[in-house]
Amino acid sequence: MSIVAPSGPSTGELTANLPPHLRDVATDEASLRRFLHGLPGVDPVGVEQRSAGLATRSIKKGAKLAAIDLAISIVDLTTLEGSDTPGKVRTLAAKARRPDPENPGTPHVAALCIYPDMVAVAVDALAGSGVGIASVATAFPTGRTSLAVRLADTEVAVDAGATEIDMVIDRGAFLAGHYGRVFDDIARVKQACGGARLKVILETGELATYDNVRRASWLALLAGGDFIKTSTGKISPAATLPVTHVMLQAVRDWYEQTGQRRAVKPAGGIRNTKDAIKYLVAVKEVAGPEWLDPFLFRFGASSLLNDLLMQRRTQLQGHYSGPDYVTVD
Amino acid sequence: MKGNTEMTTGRSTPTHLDWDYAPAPESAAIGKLRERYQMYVGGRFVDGRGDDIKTVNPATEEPIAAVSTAGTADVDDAVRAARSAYDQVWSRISPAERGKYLYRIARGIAERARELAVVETLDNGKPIKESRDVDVPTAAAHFFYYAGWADKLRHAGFGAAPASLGVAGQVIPWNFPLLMAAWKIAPALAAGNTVVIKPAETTPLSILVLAEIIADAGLPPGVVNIITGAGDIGAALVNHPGIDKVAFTGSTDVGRQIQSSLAGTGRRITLELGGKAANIVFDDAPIDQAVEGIVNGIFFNQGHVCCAGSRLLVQESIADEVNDKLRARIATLRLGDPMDKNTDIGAINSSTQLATIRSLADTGEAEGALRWTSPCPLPERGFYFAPTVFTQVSQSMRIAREEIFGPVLSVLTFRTPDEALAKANNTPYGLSAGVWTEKGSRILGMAASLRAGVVWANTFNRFDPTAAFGGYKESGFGREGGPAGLGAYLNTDDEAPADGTAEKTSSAAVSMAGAQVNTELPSGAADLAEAAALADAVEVVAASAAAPDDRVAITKTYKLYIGGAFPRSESGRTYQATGGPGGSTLANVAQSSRKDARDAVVAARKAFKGWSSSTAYNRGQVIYRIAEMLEGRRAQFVDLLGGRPDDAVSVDAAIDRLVHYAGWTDKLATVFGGANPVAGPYFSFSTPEPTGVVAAIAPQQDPLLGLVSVIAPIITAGNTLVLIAAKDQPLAAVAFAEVLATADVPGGVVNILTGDPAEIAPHLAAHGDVNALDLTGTAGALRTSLEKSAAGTIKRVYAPAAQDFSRLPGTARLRAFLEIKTVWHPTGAVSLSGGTGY
Repeated sequence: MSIVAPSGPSTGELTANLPPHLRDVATDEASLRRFLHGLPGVDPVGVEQRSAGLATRSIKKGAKLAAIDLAISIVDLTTLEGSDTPGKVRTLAAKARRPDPENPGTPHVAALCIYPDMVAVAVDALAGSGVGIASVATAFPTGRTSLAVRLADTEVAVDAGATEIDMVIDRGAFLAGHYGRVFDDIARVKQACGGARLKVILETGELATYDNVRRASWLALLAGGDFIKTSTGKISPAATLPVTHVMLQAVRDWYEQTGQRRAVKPAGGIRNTKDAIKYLVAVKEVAGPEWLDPFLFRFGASSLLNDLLMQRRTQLQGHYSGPDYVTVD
Repeated sequence: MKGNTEMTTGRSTPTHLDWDYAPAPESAAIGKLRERYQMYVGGRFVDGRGDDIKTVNPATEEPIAAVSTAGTADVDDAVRAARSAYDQVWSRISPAERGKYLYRIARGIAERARELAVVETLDNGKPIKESRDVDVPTAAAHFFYYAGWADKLRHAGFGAAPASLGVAGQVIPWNFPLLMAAWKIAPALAAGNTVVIKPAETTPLSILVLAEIIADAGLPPGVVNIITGAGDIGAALVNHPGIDKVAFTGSTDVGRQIQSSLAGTGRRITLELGGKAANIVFDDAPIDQAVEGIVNGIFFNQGHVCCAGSRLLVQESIADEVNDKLRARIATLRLGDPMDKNTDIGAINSSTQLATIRSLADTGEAEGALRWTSPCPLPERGFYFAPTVFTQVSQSMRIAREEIFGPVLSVLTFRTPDEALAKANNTPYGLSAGVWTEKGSRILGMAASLRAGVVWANTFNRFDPTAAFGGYKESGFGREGGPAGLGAYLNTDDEAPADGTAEKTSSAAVSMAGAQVNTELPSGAADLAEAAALADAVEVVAASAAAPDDRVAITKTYKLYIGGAFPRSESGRTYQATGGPGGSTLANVAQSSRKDARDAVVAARKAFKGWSSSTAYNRGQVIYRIAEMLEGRRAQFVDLLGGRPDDAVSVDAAIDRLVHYAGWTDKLATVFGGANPVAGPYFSFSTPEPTGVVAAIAPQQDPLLGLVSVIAPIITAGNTLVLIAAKDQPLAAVAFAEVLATADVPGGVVNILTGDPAEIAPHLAAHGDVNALDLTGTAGALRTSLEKSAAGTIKRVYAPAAQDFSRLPGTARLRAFLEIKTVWHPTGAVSLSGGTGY
């Protein structure tokens, strides 16, 4: 095989900005394997214990309100159903722009996350809002088709106006150890993205071990992914705190070694404010406070937003709110 | 590398949220603090005769309550109350009832958990999240665990009829006030003892709340007595003649004083003392989790942990990476108000301790180590010390050798596993150690070779009531937790006064060679009449063994036995052994010198590695072989002992004793070790290991059987031995050396010196490379002075009351020279659990 197909970017382009010790790791599959398998192991009990420890942080008062506002502003409001319609997408777009119309100070979400055929609808509905348009692509959620089709899928979304592309990796290839193939795929999709930012979905629920999560994270970062993202949301388990912890460590390590800050997106399973705040604590204490930023951290979620809005009202009004006071979209 | 080009396609300036956690203080009102606390004696809350003290919140330096303290007369009262409760109630109620009381106390702790956590944090300065998540639940768990042992003591590995000791005097430190109280009280009560316990002067409150729980549980008055005060009251307690057992947790210096002051009293002691644990990180470690383990190891409870991982040994090839990650991680630790739920590092317990930490840290700089301090802000009031890391530390620096008991980490590097092991073990302490590597065989190899009571592999600072905890070397002796923890509070079959029910030795019906059939003889002292009736049969054997020889014998020279050779004494002196009939001279025997003792210790130490790591099977075979060789010289020994029928019985019993112990070698790990069912995703096991080099004095009584009864268990347990022959009955030992030499016993495993113990033994008792003493063959002033001397390096001392060697021994002699090592490792690297299992 060749790392990066002839029509793709050369590894030289991809790695030009990298420090010397990372420049050669993707020259061929053997080097890539040596590098990925040379990464320090992850002790599962240790990472889960640390993660559980961070989850006991007590976030109160002003810190809680700030966390809720941040959480709203980093939501990728998502609908990825076969039953999606333009009407559904327009409704969500309105919610994305103004999540809580009765409280105008509420920030808008980071992006709307949809299938490629809905991008045009979203572009129209979100014009001028500052809300990004994220499209899944590459035969989401399985990726089980030819590279040509996956690239075409990506181009469709980008051409329609997507500002962010959420691709899936070939988990089969990854688990079989064909790291070069996965690297090539990501690099080619990155190229197809043009100016759009690329989120690489690792589908950690299918990777089976934290060691694999770490390797897949590094593989995606080396291949040019702007984000590493946990899950499609179609597989259980989706995002978990310790998996996200391992990915936050990866972007932290990447920064230490390259000076570049890459982004992380846990997706699926984050349903309420309490959970979201646990993730933000991990972001702050594992990657660093610089990652508390819509550019560097996102939540892929659908039901989370309403809980954030209810809790925001509770904080502002001093009494608990109820589900009928936030919109069902 | 950091900070060259930020990859920010799509935006120009970073806009991250500056998010700090708002204060999240636990409410002090939950602690229901009172203005004044009283002692708890005889089931009543009483004023002590000492002056009240003010206990201070170390986080604010504000006094939080007055506490009545004991005068020495109160110590008498408390011991009297405990004695009377022991005699009249606690030793009489059924074990199952004892268990139910302990269970009630556990429930009471759980019910008042939040209050206890607040009290602990206010009085001690530790972060509320630790008192809430560790101290209090673990204390309750300890009572739950030992509650269940109360009616199962005979299944705990201490023989069929383990007996309580009586009244235990217990002194505990300030670092885990409630948890240490639980560690002390629960096993003592479960084993049927009553206690008088004294908390540290600076942290008396949580145990006085525990007193309320104990009172509410309806525990009979006097079973638990709590007296308060400073070191003088602790000293009065441990030296009080009315107690049977002393348990102390605290500094090695105080432990030394206690051991020394109790010399000659025959009182049982367990000591849990200081440490200077090595946390060893290999280059194939899971580095991020290792960093967490390092942080947890030294900053948990502000480093006020005897088993703290205060020496980081990191492999050179990853030292920079680990140091960078460690500093970044430490910088995220939140130091401040211990009551804030988000505080990671609280206050140092007292200004005195703060001064100690500061002064030791200053020596680090003065001796040339590189000091790094976390940039975290320190509160203006209160006793705080910022997390500190020293790099470029060498083994010779004070910060690498002395226990700092504060948030100060010393980082050393190593290149090879051997070097790591050598440096890790190069300390007088031996409480705990950490190993970080993904290589399974190396974990187990290191765990076996580290001379420490607890080895945490790929984790650190895990505690569980089911898992034994305690030290090697100067970190103390005795164990807390697990079945081993009961041993500290029980007399076993062979320690209890003989009651006639214990199994008797049956002398050999089957000889080692299998050809010679001996007459079966009962051997207890009570069976002398029966023995006499059978004497005729034995006489035949004895007579043939003692057949006189008309030849003129050449002179017999009695040499020493050291390192497998038979050197002459360096002293060039001899003495008359006067153990013959009517005090007649048996022989002129070498008087060993101090240098002979030194040579013998060197030989024993040299042999230790091979002997202790040889397989249990091989050790057993060697000891069987000793029995065979002794049987081959049966006639010689019968003759040597005097040629009487009783002497033949003795020789046969000695052969049987060797056979008995030979069969123990490969049972020790099963009987004294096993898997610990700890809570959480960890595999933990405890296993017995030999203590090291033992020095023993053989008894005059029963010259051969007594000698074998001393030697056999010591080497069976894997120790090596320097034995001083019985002064006036040395010939059995000298002859036995020849048996050993012909029995494939590796040179140095047993070394035999002759001479006056009063002259040689003091050198062994004070020797820094001797780990334990067996004082079976001493009594009186010499025994006391040797025990006192042993305290200098916290040697284990086995100094039994006069024994009937003809009885089949229990396990006391084996356990006296075994350490229990507990090993932990995480489990569950199979799937992504989602981290919800905690």
